[in-house]
Amino acid sequence: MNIIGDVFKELYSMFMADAALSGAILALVAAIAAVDGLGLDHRIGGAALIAGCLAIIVVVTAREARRRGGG
Amino acid sequence: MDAIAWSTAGPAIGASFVASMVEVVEAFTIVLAVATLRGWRPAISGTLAALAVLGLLIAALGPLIGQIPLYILQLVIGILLLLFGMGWLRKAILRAAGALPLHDEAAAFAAESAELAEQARRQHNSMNWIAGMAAFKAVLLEGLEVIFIVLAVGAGRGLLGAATLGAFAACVLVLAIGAIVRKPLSQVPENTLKFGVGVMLSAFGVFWTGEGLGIGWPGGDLVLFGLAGLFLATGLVMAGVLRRPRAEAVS
Repeated sequence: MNIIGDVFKELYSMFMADAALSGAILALVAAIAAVDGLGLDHRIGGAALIAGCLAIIVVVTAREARRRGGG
Repeated sequence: MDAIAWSTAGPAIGASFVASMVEVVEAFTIVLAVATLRGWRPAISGTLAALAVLGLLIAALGPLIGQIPLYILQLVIGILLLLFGMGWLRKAILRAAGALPLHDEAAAFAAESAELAEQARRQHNSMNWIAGMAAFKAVLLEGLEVIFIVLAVGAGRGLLGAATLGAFAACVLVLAIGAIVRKPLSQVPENTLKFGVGVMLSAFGVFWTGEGLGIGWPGGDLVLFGLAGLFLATGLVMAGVLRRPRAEAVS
């Protein structure tokens, strides 16, 4: 039993179980941070963060369900 | 604690309690399999050793967290919560829609028992050692998730005590029920709990990420309830929409 390897595998799967989901979240946060740097109203960033996260969950679940032959 | 403090502490305790309950139930299933196969001695030894390692980890991480500037801590924890919480929510939606099979504690118990027996046969090692290591690994891996959840929902605004209280209450509850029934807790509605936890952790994730980026949320902490409502509504609609084509395909 490789305990250390299992610990790292567990940590990886906690945050990166679905590469598309993780990539989309990181890209969204990076984009909002970049736009925020332009000095726009913070409320726009907040609204974009909420809308982006909801859109991501819709797209990744629909894509996965379709991949598994459901939708 | 005033009304505003409770508006943050309440979700922190609730998220920590429910998420920890899911993890403790999973760890309990494996510890119980070990105890059933080899008695309570290796099961308890492995569990205590894992709890000691987790305690050392908390002792090492605790002071470090205090050294990190708050906005960086909020941003990092917010992003990790989004990755973790939305991952749970995605899986819970897919399970609710029937696209993924539900997690079955009774099946997990049977699989762990078979795995332990097979390892003992293959490796010719002491069965007690293998059983103790299985309990150690289960408690360590599930405990890591509990520690992350407690840190994530608690560290951003000095609510570590509240989040720890939620996790501790979950451990006591699961162990108390487990001690009475002495079989895998397969009646626990795990996917419903995971759905709820995914919603709450995702809401915390958006909140902390926004705070880390300098976004001032209207309503302050109370926006957490609105965020949770949006994630819950989206999750329920998605589960319903994705379930429909399956039902139509069957009929």
